[in-house]
Amino acid sequence: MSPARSQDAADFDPQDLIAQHQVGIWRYLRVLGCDAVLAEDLTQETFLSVLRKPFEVYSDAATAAYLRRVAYNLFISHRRRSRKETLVENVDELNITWDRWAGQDNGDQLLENLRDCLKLLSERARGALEMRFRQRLRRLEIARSLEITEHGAKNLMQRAKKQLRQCVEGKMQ
Amino acid sequence: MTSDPHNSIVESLLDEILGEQQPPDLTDRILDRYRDQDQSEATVSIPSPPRRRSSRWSMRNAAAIAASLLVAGMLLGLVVNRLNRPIPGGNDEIAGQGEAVQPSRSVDEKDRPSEPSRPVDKTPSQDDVLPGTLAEGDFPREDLSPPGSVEMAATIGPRDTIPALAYEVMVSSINQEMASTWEERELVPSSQATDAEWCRRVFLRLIGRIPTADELQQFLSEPGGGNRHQLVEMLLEGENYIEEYARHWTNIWTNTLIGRRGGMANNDLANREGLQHFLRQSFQRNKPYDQLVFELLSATGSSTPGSEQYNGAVNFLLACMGKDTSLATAKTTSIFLGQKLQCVQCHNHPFNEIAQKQFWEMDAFFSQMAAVKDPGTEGMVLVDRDYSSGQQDQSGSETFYQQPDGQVKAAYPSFLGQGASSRSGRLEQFDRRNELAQQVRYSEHLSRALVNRIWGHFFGYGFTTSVDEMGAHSPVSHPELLENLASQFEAHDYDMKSLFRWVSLSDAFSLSSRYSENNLADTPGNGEIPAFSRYYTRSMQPEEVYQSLLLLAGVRRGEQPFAEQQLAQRAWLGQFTRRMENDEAEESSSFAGDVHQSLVMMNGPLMQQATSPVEAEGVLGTVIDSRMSFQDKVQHMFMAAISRPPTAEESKVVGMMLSSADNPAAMLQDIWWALLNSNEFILDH
Repeated sequence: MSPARSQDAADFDPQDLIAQHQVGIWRYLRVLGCDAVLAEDLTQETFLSVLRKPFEVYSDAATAAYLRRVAYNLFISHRRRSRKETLVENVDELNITWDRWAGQDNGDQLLENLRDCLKLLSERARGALEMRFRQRLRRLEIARSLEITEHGAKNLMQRAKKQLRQCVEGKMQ
Repeated sequence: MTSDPHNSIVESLLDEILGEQQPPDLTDRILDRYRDQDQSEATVSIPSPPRRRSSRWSMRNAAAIAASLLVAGMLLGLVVNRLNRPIPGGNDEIAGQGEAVQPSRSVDEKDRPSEPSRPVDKTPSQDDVLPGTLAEGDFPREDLSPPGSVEMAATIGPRDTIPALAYEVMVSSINQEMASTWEERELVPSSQATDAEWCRRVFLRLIGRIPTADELQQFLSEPGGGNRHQLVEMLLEGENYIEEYARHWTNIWTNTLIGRRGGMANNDLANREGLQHFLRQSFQRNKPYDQLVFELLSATGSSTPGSEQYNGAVNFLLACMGKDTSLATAKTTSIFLGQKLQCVQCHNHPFNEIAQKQFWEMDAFFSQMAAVKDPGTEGMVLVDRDYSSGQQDQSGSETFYQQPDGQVKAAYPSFLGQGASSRSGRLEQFDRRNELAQQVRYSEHLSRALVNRIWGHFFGYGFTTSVDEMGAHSPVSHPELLENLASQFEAHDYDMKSLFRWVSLSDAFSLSSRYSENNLADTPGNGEIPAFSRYYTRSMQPEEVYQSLLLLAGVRRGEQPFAEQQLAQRAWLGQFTRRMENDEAEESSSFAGDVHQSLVMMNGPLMQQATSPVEAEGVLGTVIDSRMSFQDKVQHMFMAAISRPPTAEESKVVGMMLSSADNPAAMLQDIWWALLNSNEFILDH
């Protein structure tokens, strides 16, 4: 990737860097599996780690990719310190997808698209997702609430997520 | 992170949209730390902890709140007649005292699965409200707060989830943890068990019987040695094994829940067949463990199959009901939570952090439970109904217990001292048992206790001395591994087969049972903390011996109805088990190498059947009728009984016997009988 723009050290403002990329990094860490608190901490660590060294801006996309790589490394070393292993086989695919879906604007447009797509779901499917993500209910409780089997609740949510994914992909094209 | 990146992204953004987990603005915090760092670099480099919103709570604020609480506590102490010593972790501690200053946790600490929001009892404890000494029957109800005014802020719900890891990662995690233990304790693990040894033990642990000679041969004949993962999958998921898998785990859990004799006597409230029917269906469907436990604790209905109201799950609690519900409390806490509370039923235990009060608060969850006759059958129906301690308006929803010094105290439902959402005894306002089932289901103890129990099943020793007792006084041999397995068990939706898979494919499970001078010190039988540097040899369970003998005798129990199979098994096991009339309804078994066991194994009807040459379906009959050479016949019998071929010395003895034998068939019968009566046959090694 050729640098789009090089910038003198004197022009570099850490505040701009943080303001521009923090949301994207936080969301990326959440996608990796961090809870909100851990994502918050590792986002801070990512920027501090980057700011400790000389930093040169080539392009926003290159900067975002670099920050994601640092965030990912911090996430992995944190997992190792906790003696937990992490599946890394699909991280490359995740990075490609994230870059395609959210690389330009930290995922803001993706988020809006997803909001729109949610409205297109059936009331029942949306209700199931609301119970899962808003009320934090377990699958069995969702099933009971909808008077379906647990397996049925699982299928309903899987289908809903698949619909969302297809809808989002459609909007991205 | 799920395996599909698209799903991971969609799920995380749904969490943001619906779960309102918005990205924070961290600019100021990062810049503050960045500047601090710049300044401190000139002096000494100390990594600064991540700053969080709570860091805005200054020490001055914290001190002010602590001082306020202290003053409030002193005033409260003057007002109430506080006669009992405070219980560590109990409701007596001033609510919120620990929340005033929340030190910033390290990243490592935060990555642990978050604990559920625990209810905090904001009200004065019942000990504060009640006068200290009362005569029995003279309870100061006027001093009790009316129901509803003392509701506790109980929050029950699923804990934060972590990504579910693949089985290879989990196996590797177990292996790493074990390797570091061996290094720390300077132990050299035993060599690998042979494929045949491993095959035998994995059959025993997963489906409760030894492999047939054909199954063993098939596994061993695979190119490059047996595919262990494939065998585990076949035993866990294969259609040919689903019945045996369900039967085995039904046996284990029936024994755990109601013992080997529970639900069998005419005057037992529980129906053993009913419980086994429920468990068998649960294991056939691979019901998640948390759901299984929830159903056992919240079930209502009839004990007996055939009844319109039949619900086999009720038989666990029915078996625990007697003159009171204390056995239900003791069993619930020990089996599902790994907390043995029998001792604290009568007094505060010197080594157990759980106090007497907490036992009776747990017991109060069962106060609405009752057993009534089932009009449709001769069985019982477990029901819930309003509970009242005697007041007409049923505001008196307390239960009572007596302290060792004679004082009588009141108790309200509270889960291990953490409160409950109500104190009402009215069922329509507060279903106590359902609340307990929810609390247990979402308790962090549930997965830890199950992991410990299953580890004990596979290795003979759990991570603690007793799998029913995991309190602070009971050291855990591998705490990080236990936590990791427990959190991943939750992440895998309490799928027991996942746990079985991780453990049975671990290095520790594949070690030989032969020890060397380099790991002789790892002998838990001598009181050492187990390091699992070898497979600990132990006797097979009676059910495992029975099922293995059936197999070798060629008895096709699988063609019989399940209930009949269980009746036959009960009759055989009944020879060894006796119920002890103690509070814990414990049992004694004479299946431990005594004379009774020896006689049954030498001359019992099942052994006679297994060693009869006329049983055409049995191993002996098949071998005698086959066209194999004599040596092959002997080898086949060795493989079938003890999963290995004869050693050179054994072959030599057999050869000598053959040279002087008039009747080779009779000689084969003698060898077969000797094999089934050898120690090696009844050992899991």
